[in-house]
Amino acid sequence: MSVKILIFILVLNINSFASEYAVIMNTHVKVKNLSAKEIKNIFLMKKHFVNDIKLIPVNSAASLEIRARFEKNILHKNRRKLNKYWVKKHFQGIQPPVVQASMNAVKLFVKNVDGAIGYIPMKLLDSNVKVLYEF
Amino acid sequence: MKYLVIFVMFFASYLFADKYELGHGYKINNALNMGAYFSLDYANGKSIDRLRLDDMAVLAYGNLPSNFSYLAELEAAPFYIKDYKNGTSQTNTTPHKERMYLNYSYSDMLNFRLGKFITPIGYWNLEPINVLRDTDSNPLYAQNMFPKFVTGIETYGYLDEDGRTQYHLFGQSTDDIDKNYINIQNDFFIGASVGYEISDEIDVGSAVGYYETYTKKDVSLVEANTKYDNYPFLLQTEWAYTSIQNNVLNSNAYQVGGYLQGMYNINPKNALVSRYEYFKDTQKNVMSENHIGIIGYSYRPFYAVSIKGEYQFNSDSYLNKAIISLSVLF
Repeated sequence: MSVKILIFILVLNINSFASEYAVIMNTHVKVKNLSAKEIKNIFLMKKHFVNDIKLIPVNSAASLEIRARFEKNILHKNRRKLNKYWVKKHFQGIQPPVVQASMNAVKLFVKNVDGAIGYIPMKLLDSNVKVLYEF
Repeated sequence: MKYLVIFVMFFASYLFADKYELGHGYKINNALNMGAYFSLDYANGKSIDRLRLDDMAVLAYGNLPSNFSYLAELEAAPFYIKDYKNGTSQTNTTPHKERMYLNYSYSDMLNFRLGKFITPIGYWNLEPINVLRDTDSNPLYAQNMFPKFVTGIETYGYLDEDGRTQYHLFGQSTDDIDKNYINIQNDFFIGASVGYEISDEIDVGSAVGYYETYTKKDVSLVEANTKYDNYPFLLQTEWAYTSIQNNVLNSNAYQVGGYLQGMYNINPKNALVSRYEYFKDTQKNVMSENHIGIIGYSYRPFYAVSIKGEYQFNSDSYLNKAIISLSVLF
């Protein structure tokens, strides 16, 4: 009985550590994966190319939980820091990533626009997009 | 059909974009973002009693097809000055070209910029407007040791995949596009700078340069900088040395200057700031050595709105003064 409980707890723990979200691009792009640092630089508009393809990062709406998770786990910046960052970038003539209202809209954007890169929940993944990083 | 879908997607990205935020500019479309800023300050001391509306500026920038982008900025500064010591006032409403350039991105490692742009040296010079600074005043280092702008060409980018090492190479072989807004009039300027991000909190950088002034001085420059930014603390320092060959007086001189500035954020809106700066100039006609200490307070109800106050202690006490300012970036 105690072994079964132990296995149950182990499975529960494995599930709790599983990735919930994925960074995606469309399947035409010949990129296998990206590091967290590369993704951070892409969404901070410091890195603009992968394999000679001009990148178009796509953020989800600021109100969605996935955006907060992405900012914390990948960008390592809270909203206050990001606001300061983009105010300074505005003076330098650099715009933040485009925004889509829903996670389905992000997926559709990435599927249809070459170079687009976004992030969605794992449960929305399908064969039209390629996973480059999980978090 | 695919292009229609793409058009709808981009259109939706504007519709559902995060709503306008102060300091982020107004995005009309991908090719046109508009912004503006101003600053108002009042300085009072034995040597000064002045109200100034400075930096009335508008800027526009955006992305163009084929990896091109641009930025244009017009500024009238000082827009209005009221000098209470002399009982005079002055207005300057004529806009001048502060920045005006075209970028071309070939890769992350190789980008080109053509036009008038901010000299890519250090931290202070790259964020020169009041609202982005943590103090009312600029250190002497940032005003006297190298031209703030370059009218010419720049190559810049990252030297590694991680984007930790950034470089700039720049050159000018002409007059400034708009001579009204250049601290050191020159017609030749070349330089290089490099920055390295050690971690999210710490980065270091260095620069070298050479320029020839209208007053027939040939100046060589070397600069170094480092910054530690880990909320609630921010510490940054920049130092430079110039070697000056005066071709009129047939003499040599040098400048040494720099500052160390620390900031402690009491909370996200309120901060205490302190700076020590040193500047020495051995030119015969301007021979001087300054030690300046500054204590200040910064209040930002939003990051793009800055209300600051500071007191400057100068080694020449006649120059001691208090400054308060309000600045906003739209």
